[in-house]
Amino acid sequence: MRGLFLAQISSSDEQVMWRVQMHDDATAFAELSQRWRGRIQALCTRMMGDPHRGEDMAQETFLRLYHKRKDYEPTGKFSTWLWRVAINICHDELRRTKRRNETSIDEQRGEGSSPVEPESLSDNQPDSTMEMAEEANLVRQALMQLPEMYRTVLVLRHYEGLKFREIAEVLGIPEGTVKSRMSEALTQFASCYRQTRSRPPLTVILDQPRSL
Amino acid sequence: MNHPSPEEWIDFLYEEIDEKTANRLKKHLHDCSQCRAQLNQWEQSRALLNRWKIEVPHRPASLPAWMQWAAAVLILFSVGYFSGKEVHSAANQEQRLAKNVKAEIQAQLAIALQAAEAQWKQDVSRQFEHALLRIEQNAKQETAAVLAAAEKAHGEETSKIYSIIATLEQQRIADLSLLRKELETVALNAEDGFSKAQRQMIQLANYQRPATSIK
Repeated sequence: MRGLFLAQISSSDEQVMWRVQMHDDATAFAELSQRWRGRIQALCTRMMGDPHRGEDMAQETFLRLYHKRKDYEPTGKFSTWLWRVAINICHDELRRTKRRNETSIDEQRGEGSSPVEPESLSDNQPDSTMEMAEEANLVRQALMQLPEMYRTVLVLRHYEGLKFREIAEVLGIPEGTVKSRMSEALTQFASCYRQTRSRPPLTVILDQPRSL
Repeated sequence: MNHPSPEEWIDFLYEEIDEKTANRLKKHLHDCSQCRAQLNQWEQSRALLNRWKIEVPHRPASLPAWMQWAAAVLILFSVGYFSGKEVHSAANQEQRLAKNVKAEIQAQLAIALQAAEAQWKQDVSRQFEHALLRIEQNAKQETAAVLAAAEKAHGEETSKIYSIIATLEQQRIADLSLLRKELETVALNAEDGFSKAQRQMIQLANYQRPATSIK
């Protein structure tokens, strides 16, 4: 019962995780889920390129976290472990999907993407909500074009704000490698975005049903 | 010309860099159009990335334990721990394990819920007591504040407020004088209670109307 009141916002993640690990404390686990669910879901959505799959992967992450609670190293930072589990789950799923070749043209190109005139990349600021949604969709598609290892570093640094040293710990690679991947990611993203934006109307024809 | 490495530029871009190195890089940027172009392209990418925003719900600073706890239970519901929602896992073993985990969590949560409820009731009654105290203390302050606000207003509104307050005041005085009469009766009927009643009457006599400046 004490776990109920110890699992409060004033406790660090590591303290709460200790309770999960040592006492199978479900309430403590719920506390951690609540703290991190939003960010993990954001990460998974950006890695999978889809909010529904992102939600599934986030759920899977917390499930695996509880399942593997005995594996947690109490001396390490909780969030490092959490990010690693989430990244691995997304990686496994992406690889599985790739092998099964499930990705339809729909998923790759995004439904109803209308052709846009190729212009200099960011000279107009989108005004309306619809324009903003379209822009976001283009970014999403461009990100999915990036090789996974570049996307991973980019999402962790740019969207989740992890320091390069942290990312190195999460991925188990040298810090220098993280940075060089990041520079490559930013470069490739620019060209992917250009490509996505100037896509021919082929997608529209394939996606929409023909009226005969 | 010796250009800084991409790694150095990335450090610079994301401000994970000391001032001395930053100044060195800035100076190079000033002299080198090639690096300027590269940095520019990266800045563009960053600006584009920012156009895909995802709402992350922000957690309130501090909630009472029972509320945090209830929120956690809700999270688990939404995450699907208590439903038959299928989880995308490769092996059947994972799914069976997931079901066991759910049952495990469910049992523990049921017990903890009872404790939370008991604590909640305790907290609420304590808070209620404190609230009552505060209301009594604030009553006088609030009356003055209402009057001050009324003074700022114009027209009929002001006189309406004044009349309401006056009615309330009269009501209070009426209640108190009734109480006074009752105490007098008690005092007359019971000699040993007399001194006590006397004390209370003195208290009532000392009761003053809150200072008002009704214009």
